[in-house]
Amino acid sequence: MSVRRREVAIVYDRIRPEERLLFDAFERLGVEAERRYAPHEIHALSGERAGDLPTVALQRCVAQTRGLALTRVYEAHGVRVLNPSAVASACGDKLATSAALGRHGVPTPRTVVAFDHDAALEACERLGYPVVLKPVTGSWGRMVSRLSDRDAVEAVLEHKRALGGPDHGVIYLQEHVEKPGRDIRAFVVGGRVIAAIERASDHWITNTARGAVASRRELDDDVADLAGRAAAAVGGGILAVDLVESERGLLVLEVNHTMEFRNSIETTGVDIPAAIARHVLEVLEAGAVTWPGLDQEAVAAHAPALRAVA
Amino acid sequence: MPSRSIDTPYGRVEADPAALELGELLVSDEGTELEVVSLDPLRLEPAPEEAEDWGE
Repeated sequence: MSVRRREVAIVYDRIRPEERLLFDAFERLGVEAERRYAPHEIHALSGERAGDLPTVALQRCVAQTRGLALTRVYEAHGVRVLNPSAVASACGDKLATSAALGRHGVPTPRTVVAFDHDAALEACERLGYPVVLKPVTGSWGRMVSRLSDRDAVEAVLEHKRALGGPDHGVIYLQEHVEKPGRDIRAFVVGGRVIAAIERASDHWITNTARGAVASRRELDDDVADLAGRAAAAVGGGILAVDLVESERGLLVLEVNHTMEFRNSIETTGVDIPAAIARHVLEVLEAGAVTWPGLDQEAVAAHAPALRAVA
Repeated sequence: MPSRSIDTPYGRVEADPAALELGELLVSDEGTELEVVSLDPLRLEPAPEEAEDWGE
């Protein structure tokens, strides 16, 4: 297809290996994707549509708050953004992710949310020790704690209270799932599960950002089915779904909406950035952000302000 | 254009100014990670480390 300049943009705030790979992927497809540096963006929100906005934007900001804010602004100006703010909102907050997965019957570790010290302790008793306490926002396993008893929970809650900030008032707890030394990450692009890896580590947090080792995982029906269902539950798009094997079968741990894939291309033999670039062009050609599972009403609800004047 | 030395308050980096992009990371000879935050004029600042909301 013929793509005019400024029809496609990559919005970023830091050039990581993933952004380089995406730049290259578009170039290989003969597409001159505009590179938009998010920290320098300025947008009016009082009615006028900016003239230099792209038709479709691939959102790649590492700062999630900035990325979501810019996505909302772009959508308000009629730009199709991958991933849409409805999807980013569902994935960028673990509580929202759990709610979406639960609403769609996607199996996850047992999860409880509490809002004060005593309620959190009661929730831990219900889950049984050890419990896993996670911040509702954040990635790469930061500030995720496995707590073996009531004393440990009380100590961490005390620290959270001392840290202050609204997020620390939301206490997100999960049962601890004994992993077989690994978890699974499945990559979903536009409703298609395209590849999967296993991440092995001696540490209980099996994140490659924390040193876990990635290897190829066959895309069997169970992994593909559950990853596809999890992606659809949060609205679909370009996503990485983290799964864990448990006594109850596969469970979904989280869904990432600005996924990293630098260590997964050679490992899987799948050109993930090319798949992403092709999907962006599909959305451009289709004239709308669309794939199985995307709730169009939710997308519209997140982008009401300037669409009428765009 | 070939690479040249660029002096910064955080050490010297070797780079081709014409090929630099906003958001690119460079490491100075003093080991400081620098981020390109402006191209014209060229400005390199210490790259922020991980923030609470950074991630996937």
